[in-house]
Amino acid sequence: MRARVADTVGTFFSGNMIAYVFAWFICGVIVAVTGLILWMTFVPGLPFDAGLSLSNYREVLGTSHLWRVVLNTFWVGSGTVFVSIFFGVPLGWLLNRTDLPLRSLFITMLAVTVIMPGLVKAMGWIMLLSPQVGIINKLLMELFRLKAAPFDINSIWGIAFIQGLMLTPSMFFLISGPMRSLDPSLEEAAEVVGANRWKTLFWITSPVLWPAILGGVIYIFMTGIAIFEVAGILGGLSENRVLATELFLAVQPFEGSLEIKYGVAGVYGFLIMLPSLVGLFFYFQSIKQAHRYAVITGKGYRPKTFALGRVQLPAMLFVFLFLLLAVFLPFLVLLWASLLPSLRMPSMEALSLVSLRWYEEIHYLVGGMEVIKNTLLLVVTSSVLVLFFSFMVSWVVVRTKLRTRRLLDTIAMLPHAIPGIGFAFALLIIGIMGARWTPWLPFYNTVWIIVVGNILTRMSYATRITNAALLQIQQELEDAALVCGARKWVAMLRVMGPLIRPSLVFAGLWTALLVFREVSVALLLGGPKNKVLATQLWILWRQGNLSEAAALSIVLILIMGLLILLLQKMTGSVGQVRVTPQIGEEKL
Amino acid sequence: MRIGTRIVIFAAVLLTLATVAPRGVPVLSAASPVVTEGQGLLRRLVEGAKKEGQLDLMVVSSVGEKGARELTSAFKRRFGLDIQMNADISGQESQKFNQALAETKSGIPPTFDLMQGEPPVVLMLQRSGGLEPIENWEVLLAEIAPEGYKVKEKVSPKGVAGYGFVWANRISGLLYNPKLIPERDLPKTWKEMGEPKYRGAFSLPPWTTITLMGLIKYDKEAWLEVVKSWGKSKPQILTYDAGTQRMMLGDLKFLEGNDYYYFEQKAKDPNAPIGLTYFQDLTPMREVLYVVRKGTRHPNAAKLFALWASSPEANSIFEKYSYTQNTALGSGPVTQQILKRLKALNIKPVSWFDNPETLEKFLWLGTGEGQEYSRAIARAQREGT
Amino acid sequence: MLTVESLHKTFVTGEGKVGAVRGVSFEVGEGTFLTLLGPSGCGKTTTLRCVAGLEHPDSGKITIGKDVAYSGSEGVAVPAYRRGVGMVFQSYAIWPHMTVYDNVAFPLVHGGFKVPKSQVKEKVRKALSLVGLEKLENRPAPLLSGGQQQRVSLARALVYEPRLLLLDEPLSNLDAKLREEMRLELRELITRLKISTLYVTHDQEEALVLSDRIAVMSEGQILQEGQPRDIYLNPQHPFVASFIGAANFVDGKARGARDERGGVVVETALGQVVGSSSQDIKAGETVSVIFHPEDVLVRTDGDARGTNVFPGTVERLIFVGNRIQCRVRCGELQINSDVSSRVDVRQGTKVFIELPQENVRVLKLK
Repeated sequence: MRARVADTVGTFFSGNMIAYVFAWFICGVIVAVTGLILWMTFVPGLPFDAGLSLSNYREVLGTSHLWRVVLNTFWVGSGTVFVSIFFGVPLGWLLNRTDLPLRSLFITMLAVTVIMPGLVKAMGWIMLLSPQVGIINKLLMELFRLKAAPFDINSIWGIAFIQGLMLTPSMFFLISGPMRSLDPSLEEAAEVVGANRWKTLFWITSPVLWPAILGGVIYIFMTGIAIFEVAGILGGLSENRVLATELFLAVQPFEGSLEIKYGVAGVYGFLIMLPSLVGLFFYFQSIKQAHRYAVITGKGYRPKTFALGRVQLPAMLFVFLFLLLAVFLPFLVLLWASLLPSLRMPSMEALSLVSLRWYEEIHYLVGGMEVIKNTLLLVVTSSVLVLFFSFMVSWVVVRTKLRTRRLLDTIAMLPHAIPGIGFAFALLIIGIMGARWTPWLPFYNTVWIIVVGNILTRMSYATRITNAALLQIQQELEDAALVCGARKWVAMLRVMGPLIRPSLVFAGLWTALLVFREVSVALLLGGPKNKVLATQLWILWRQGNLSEAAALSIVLILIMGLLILLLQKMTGSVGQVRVTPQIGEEKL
Repeated sequence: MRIGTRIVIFAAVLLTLATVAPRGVPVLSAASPVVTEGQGLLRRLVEGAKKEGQLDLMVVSSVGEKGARELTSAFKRRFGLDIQMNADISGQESQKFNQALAETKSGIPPTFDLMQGEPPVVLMLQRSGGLEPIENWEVLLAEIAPEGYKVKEKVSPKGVAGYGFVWANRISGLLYNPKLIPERDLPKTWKEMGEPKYRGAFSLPPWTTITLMGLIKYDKEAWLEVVKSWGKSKPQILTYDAGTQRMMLGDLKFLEGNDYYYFEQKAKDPNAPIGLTYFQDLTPMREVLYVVRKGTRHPNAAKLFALWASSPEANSIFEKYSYTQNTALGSGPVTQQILKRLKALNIKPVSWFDNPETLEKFLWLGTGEGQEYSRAIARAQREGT
Repeated sequence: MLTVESLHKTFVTGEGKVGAVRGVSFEVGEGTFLTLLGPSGCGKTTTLRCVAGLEHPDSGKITIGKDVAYSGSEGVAVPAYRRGVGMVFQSYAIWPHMTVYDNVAFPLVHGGFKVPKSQVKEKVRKALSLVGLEKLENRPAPLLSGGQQQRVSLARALVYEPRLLLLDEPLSNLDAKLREEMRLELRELITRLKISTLYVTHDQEEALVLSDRIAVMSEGQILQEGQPRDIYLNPQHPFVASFIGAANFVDGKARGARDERGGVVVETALGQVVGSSSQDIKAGETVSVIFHPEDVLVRTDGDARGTNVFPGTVERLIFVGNRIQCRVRCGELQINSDVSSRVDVRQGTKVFIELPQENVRVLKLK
């Protein structure tokens, strides 16, 4: 009898049970919050007001320009995908599978670009490609004696271009895993039957990687149609409107009536979500395919590096071009702005005004120790919790035979289809309700509500990484530990832990970076006592203090860059989701 | 003095003291000086604030972190308070007021003790019962900011009297880039802005709060047509800050915006390519008011600050960091420069609170018909239809 | 067909330089089947990959047919896709996004062995029928079993009739029964096609069955090369002896002079053992006496006469069907013997073991 009880208790606390509980918990939260957003779309005023109605839907769907907005959104999404593939796929291949020099450094720089907020990049691009004053335009016009500026950044293509550059690192990191775990003998076999490097690349490597790339494409599309900051900055609030701008506008007192239409915002959120849901479906199809194709021999093969030979120089130039566009140029613009009292085009006159004034005032720009403390708390807690929950979800999805595990995976991806600001609103309502019914629980107006918002929105990417990581580890390694008498959680800790550590570190770091610079959620849920660095930066920007904002940005970028480099040195590598070496025959 | 008069005075003083005494002002000790009602009320507020020990308030973002600190320090110094003050400078006034509305409706303690915003959001919150009035505010104002007391109907205008207290006025002017367009070529009236020659030269903000103030001068249909003409030329829609940046970069020629931006930019850089003038037909002005939230946990500190914000001392700090003027007071340096310009151009800014008729028009906007009209204006501004 | 001369290859790993191939030379004659046999890490796969052009040697020379594929001294290095060899990988390397037909047709369509379109189908069908997979032409690759994948891999290697066939442990991922079947099929096929073949394996039985010649490798060097029978019966190196067949090793000191039959007398812990040796063994030299279990006669008749007869006790018996594996303790030594299952021995039986002189090899201890 006692043995039976002990058995039940043991099973309950067995590794799988723990995973089930936590995985279902977080998915339950996601479903609940999404449900709240959906419910809000049916409420005409605030959620406390009575009555459900379709008035919000009528308002949104009744607008004459909705069709154009949807079309714009589609073009922006496609353009974003195109640009991110154009740069991301070759970069993924060059930096993972070839002998290009300085690969490690380039990968670090890719990760660092994430720190620069989109609005800063957009501002930089205005200075470069605005039809009136863009430097590049002016240069080209002089060189080729053109009458009109060849590039106009204030267009759908401008938005897509900048967003594509912004999301290239995401594409890169999404396909790095599959690229590295590609069985090198597939390519060697092609070589032996007489296909040269390029034929191999075209006929063998690309088709096998395609499902993984497709997964990346869908993910980027979903992200691209939900971003507001770029479209908003590029003056696209009149002509080149996309669904995300509509959502933003619904939240402004634009319509004269001063009550913010949370419901309308929710409807736009769902309009954004619909194509993403369709995309999600295809995403899961394509990764199923990718798994079939993932011929991971697990025999300790290291991916074969492609010798670039004569192509090395063009390849380096390509990488430099990307870094120039995505990193250096915006960074230079930032630097330039930070050294001036206010932003102006480069000129002799401007040079005379250069000073370090804003850097000297950094402690004011930061906003005090409270801000730093809040930010640290936010970033660390969010990353740790995201990692924890992702691991749990991935465990259930990859390792167990639970029938509902596919559903779990889908739910984890769901937040990606909804703009973050939608979650922020839902959490606001939840916060208010919480303040009413459980006032003793610290939530509303604290850092914790922002933490929850970030956890919900970051799960989607983190689970991609932990899924891939767990897939690569043979079940047997863990089973061996169990047979030796170790409990499940000990096996998880001592066997799996070290093997997937690189992936976990990477996922944690990426999450931390994104949480660090996330603004919309932190802003909406911010009050007097939970200010964070991202909102400070945003405040400076919104006040038109671009120079101060630039100075703060530069300092933050340098700090984050250093941290990443440090982390890379400590854990071996950051961007490299390694194929875990198996214990087996070492081929010599 | 004749004895009779002395007795009368003494009785009057006693009578006053009798009315004041139940509120616990220690007046009857032999050595204490005679206090006025105002002083008594003030002291009670200060004592209350000391006990509360904290104040969560909104401060306009343009003062920045440094300005917020100076502001709060000055406040504490003025009243000898040593309380914790959490100033939120993240802006987003309309979002915060809406949140306040939700808080009021659900009956939870408010996030902020003290909020500041323009009349539309303030009136919305007041209508919903989210504001706490300051009793005897006139007397207190006289104590705290005598200069403000002199213009008290401007400091707390009819309509929000006792609820809202003006700390700044935002006046709409024309900001332009003198390198790209000389002053004489600028549109002289709001109507002219819609002319084809200005296509692509200016930006409009995404909000309609200023646009709607056209009703003060023009009639509904005519004004709608004017707004449509702007929208037809498909201008860029940018916030004032973004628009000003772009204009100085040379991307735009001019924009309608807050006049004090001119002084702000010039202070940062005397050679900034920015000029300031005003439309000749209509110059809208919005009061920016501090309001105390109902149900606040720190009412005394909040009330103190609300009243103090309309003082010249506070105004000088506001002007120092954000260049926002307080034309009611008329004392600060920026304010005086603005007043001088307005006088030179013979311009009289108008506001919703000017007279009962304008207030009536403003309240009409809140009705169903008014909301229809607002939506039409919004569509006109955005799309020109 | 293939000549490898003084091949050298080192790898740089986390622990420093590892000499994988250290001066390997061998030849594969026209139509011959040579196996590189050795334990994991001995360098056999690296050698094979150097021949294929998938690894770049440090020095040496590789000639395929009349062409120099690699020459360190002359600076020649023909890339893999131009060497015209066929290769079967250990993991088969079947391309998952293609059907069986496309996999096999690839060399003829996109590879280096292009033929006119009209001929492709015929050649592919022929190759598939060689491996018995004609019916699976249109099956998508991921749906094949391990054995089927291996055949497709072979068909792909053969479809363009290469002059040299390289096989990297192609049978090691199959289950035992399949392995045995495939072994024979493979041998038959290759003999029929008369293709020069270089095979790599760690399984000595496989090597013995398949090869015309075997080269035993250890630690980057070839220790002995020769016909399977020779290697088995005449190991020239203790390692070779231990690797091929299960051998008994007894160390001792040579007495020097040979006896009347030319045998070498060695003083061992067993006693005085007389064996044969092709090496020049001096007196007093420490040597290894090696003999196979199947050459150890177990006598229960109590007759202690004769050379190389030693007393012992049966310590352990393992019945493997047609034989009995006996472990006999002779003093401090354990001698393994394979006897017919009809021999009547039990644990603890006192026996005599006899080692016929011609089956005992004496090798210098290296």
